[in-house]
Amino acid sequence: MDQDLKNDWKEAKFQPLSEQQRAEIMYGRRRTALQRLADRYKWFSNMALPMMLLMPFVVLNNVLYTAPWGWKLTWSIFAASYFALCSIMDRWLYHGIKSIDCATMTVNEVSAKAMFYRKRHLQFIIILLPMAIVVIGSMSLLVDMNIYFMYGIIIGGVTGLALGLRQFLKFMSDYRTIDE
Amino acid sequence: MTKVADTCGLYTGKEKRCVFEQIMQNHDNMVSRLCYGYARTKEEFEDLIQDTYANIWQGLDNFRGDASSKTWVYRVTLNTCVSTIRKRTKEGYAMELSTVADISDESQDGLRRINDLYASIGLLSPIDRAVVMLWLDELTYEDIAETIGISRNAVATRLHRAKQKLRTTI
Repeated sequence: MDQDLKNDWKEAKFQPLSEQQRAEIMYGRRRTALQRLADRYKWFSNMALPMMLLMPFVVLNNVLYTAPWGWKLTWSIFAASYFALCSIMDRWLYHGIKSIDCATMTVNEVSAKAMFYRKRHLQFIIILLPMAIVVIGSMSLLVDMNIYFMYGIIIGGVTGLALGLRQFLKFMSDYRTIDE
Repeated sequence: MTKVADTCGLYTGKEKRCVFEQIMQNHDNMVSRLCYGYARTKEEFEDLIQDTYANIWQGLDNFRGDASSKTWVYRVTLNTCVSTIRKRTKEGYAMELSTVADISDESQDGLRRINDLYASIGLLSPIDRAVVMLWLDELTYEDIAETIGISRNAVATRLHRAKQKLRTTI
């Protein structure tokens, strides 16, 4: 039985890579799934930094935001903290994923690390998602509400949710599922 | 086991290309077999192979031939697969072996047997899958233990359990 299995296993002869695929690898143009995942974390971490300053700046300086100054300041501090937290978490995940070295680590180590960071990613989402809803939802308290603002907030919320979901699925497709 | 360094010398500069070509030539079918064991679709299979070679290319700078090139290539291939695999169920296994491999000599019965073997391997956990595939490739328990990073006894236990599962599913 064992030898039959081994014979069957070796039976298939696979097609080799094309010249173009080889060149793509050898000239360093190929980014692996792990590298793409790390790149995405880095991008999000970098993007959160200007947002940390931009959002409070807009709320504190735009005439549309008519709430008392104390409210606006409280919201600004909360929003800045939220984006700072996003940036730190993404940066941490970026360094974690980048530390996975397929060429030197054992299979067990790589599997454990990939699973660890996937779990952390989901836990971070659980922390950040309610905060994002509070940040966006409480923005409505800072303006004179009228029907147009309501429409704007609803459309913005739905669009944001769709974009967020799309990014989440992209992240998960790069991680994929390890069901050890 | 042969060492790549035997024919290509140090892995620096121009020789890196030579070493890489040699690895592809010597281990191409083995890399494909392992990647096929983890992929669900043809696209995923091709991605895994290319990612594996990209990791081998990048890892060559630090690989000085202390281990045999074969064991090292096994390790890089499996690492690439376990870090990026999707959960696979028997229903989700949509790729026919004949779309990516040459098995023209095989009878219909033989073809079905090979497909069943890969499908059954795909139902194992990623680490068990790695252990079984290395065993099928005739690696010793010691080499499997070194590549996976578990003890020899753990290899024996996992392999025994996995073989029992294979017998019930094939």
